[in-house]
Amino acid sequence: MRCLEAVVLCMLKEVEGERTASSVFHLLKGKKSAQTIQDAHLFKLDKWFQTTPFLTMALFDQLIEGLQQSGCLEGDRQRSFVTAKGRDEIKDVLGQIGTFPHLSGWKLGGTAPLFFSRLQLAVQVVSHLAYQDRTYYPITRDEGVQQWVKQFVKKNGFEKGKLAASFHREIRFVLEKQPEHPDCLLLRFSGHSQTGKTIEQTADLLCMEPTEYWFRFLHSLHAVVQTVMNEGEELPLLKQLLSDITVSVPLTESARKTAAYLHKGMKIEEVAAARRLKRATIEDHIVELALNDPYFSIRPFIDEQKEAAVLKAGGSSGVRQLKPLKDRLPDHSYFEIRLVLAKESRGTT
Amino acid sequence: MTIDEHLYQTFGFSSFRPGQRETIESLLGGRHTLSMLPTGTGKSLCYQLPAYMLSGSVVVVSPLLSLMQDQVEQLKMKGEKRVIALNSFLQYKEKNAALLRLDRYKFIFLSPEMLQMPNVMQALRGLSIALFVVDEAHCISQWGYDFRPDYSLLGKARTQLGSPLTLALTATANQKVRADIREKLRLTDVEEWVFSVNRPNIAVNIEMVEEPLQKRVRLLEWVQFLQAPGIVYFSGRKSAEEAAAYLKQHGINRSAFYHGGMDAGDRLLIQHQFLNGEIDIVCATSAFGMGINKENVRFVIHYHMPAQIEAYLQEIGRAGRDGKPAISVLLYVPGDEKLHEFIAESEFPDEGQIRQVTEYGLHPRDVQPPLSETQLRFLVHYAKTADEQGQSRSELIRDVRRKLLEKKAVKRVEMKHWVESKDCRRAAYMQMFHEKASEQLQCCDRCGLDPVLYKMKDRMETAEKGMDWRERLNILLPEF
Ligand SMILES: Nc1ncnc2c1ncn2[C@@H]1O[C@H](COP(=O)(O)OP(=O)(O)OP(=O)(O)O)[C@@H](O)[C@H]1O
Ligand SMILES: [Mg+2]
Ligand SMILES: [Zn+2]
Repeated sequence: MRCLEAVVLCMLKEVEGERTASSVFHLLKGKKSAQTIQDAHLFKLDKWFQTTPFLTMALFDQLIEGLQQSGCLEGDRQRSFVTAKGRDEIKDVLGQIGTFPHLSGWKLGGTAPLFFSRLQLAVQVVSHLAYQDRTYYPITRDEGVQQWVKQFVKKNGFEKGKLAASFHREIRFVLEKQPEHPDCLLLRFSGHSQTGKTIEQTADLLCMEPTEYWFRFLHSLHAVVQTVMNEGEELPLLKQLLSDITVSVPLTESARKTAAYLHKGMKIEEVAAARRLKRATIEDHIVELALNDPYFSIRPFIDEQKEAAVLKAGGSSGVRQLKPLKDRLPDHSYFEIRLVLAKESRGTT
Repeated sequence: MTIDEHLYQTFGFSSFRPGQRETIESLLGGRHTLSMLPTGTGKSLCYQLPAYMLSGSVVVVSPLLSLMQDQVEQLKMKGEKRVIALNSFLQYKEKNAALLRLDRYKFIFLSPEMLQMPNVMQALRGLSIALFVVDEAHCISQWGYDFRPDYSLLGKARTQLGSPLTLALTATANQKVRADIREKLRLTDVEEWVFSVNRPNIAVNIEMVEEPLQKRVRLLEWVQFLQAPGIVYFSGRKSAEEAAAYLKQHGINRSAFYHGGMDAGDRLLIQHQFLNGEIDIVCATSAFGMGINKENVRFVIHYHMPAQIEAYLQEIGRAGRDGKPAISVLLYVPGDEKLHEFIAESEFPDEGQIRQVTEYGLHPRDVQPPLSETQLRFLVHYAKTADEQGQSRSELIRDVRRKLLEKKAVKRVEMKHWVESKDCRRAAYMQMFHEKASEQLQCCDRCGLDPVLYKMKDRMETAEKGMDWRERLNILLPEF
């Protein structure tokens, strides 16, 4: 079984009986919808959020079908359950490969690719400078990244040889710290008289199954980004590469608009009327905001006592099913319960 | 400076290639020019050199994003900073910033749809345009290889820009296509420079293979035998990938596949590896090659018969750009053409998809199953045309679709006849362009050719396995 299948199974296990198989697809793709964003937290699947840019719905469907046929999964797309065989497979595969503890798709899904793109181009430019070689084609065609790296080199390039050496030291430092084989990242760089390898080629050179390589690469990259975030003082160049990447929390566009209205002091009903949306939709947005925005207060929508009641009824112990909670709290609306759960799970990430 | 001095001082070449001088002098004489020069001989120079002798900007229309980017990068590498590519991938902000200061650029590359945008046209009208270039001009004709509906709007855009001095470039356009180019671009008074389509240094070899499975074996044998680097063309992505895997399994390590379904970053890496000589066999679809300037490609193999002779000539034209001998091999199994029937159909939206737009009023982007990029362009373009001409959308779209499919079928039959013919290959393809054959050595399989001349002399090996990562890092960024 490929690493990707094991990851999907592992995620399906978390949502089984409560969500459809497609919800796992949306998580992997990092869909910016209220439902997916909530799921990431409720089921503690946030590390996988937005980690498989290469996956398409068609590929995912094939994969699910394969899992059903091999007896790892039973039930239908609406409600699938991981079988005992499926659980063994997860253990087998991820037991060997590991569970990628540094992977953090939720936090770094947007940051890491841009950081890597800048790093790749910066390494290429600095490498060519060091060898006084001026004839090469840039590794990325992204104009924004090209402009950025140009400024970066201008700012730091006072002594050409020195820049390569400092860059070398910083990269060695982070490569030694991260958990995977350094070649997972290193082989992907282009420089003087050598071109970076594609994902396929790197997997091949490292004798890995391609999706396993992909997750190891991402794992390594996320670990590097976290090191730079935490120990930036020792890594001035890498820190610059990360400096102005502004990651906005993944919010749906629609939730953003709702937030703007709420900000003006409007009530749920008023927002719904102004936006010509259903009340339930606005409530979804509010739950989304509660999940994602650390400064969002749920107080206008639920008072302290009611919040405490939800927590007491089990809302703090990782219970994710709404129905049993609702049964215990007949005076609460589903919205109020979801709101408290959302705020609680925000605390954990 | 004279044009010869420019050639040497600005471009570092000592002499013109056939057709370059004629084209450039015609332009400098202020005449609209249509030039047909063989593949890979240096058509780009025909507008790059005059750019430095004329005041004002050179606007170049190019059919493919990747081709545009390749050209921009090549100019930049030569030290020209005043180049920009305007295309739909440019961010809104970047594009607006560029449009505000468009006069700073000497070379402005555009995709045809950019000329449909009012703000782009407005910016262009504010410029003094020294030269308006239509690269790969055959895309304008329904009879041309790689017809692109939005090229047909170039004539109107050209008029709106005040009919600036115009250069149309192509490597493969017969009389019919050239007439189409003149008409669609509204070029009434135009000087035509037509050079032979023939590439004498490329031997043409067609090999009949009994059945499809045997092709793989023959491919491997050829690849092991021939001097690299080389390109192998396939009609489908999957077969390109499978063949690349097969070659790898059999010890052809410095090989890779390339197709439009790959991630853009990966595609670029393969291209760079090939240019730098780190890999020397690329198994590709037709997406590979346009705009890639590699001088020393020694062979092109076609694993499937191309859809038409122009496509074949363009693709083999990527070999032997240094003027040294090269060979093209086409592996043919009777029935190969069926594949193209299927591919041709799939380039257009099907009945159901057309109906969703014409009868149910769906936006082409919402059609199910979703349309490919080509299908989308087609539908959008002809829906608009129908509206403008006050015709029924569904009738016009179905009509065009049928006509284009018929044309493709005609071209397919022509190609098949060429493959099956007993006559000299070269004479026959030249005949299709109304040229007289020229006799030569190492001509084709019909006239007799000696494959040993193209036999591998040296094959590079890679030794990157087993290197320690610290060593690798040290080479990449020396720690002095
Ligand atoms: N006069 C010359 N002498 C030597 N090399 C030349 C000359 N003119 C152009 N070249 C080189 O020939 C190569 C091919 O040039 P170019 O890409 O312009 O060809 P093309 O005709 O546009 O090819 P294609 O058919 O692929 O579009 C380039 O590497 C270019 O630098
Ligand atoms: Mg060209
Ligand atoms: Zn011949």
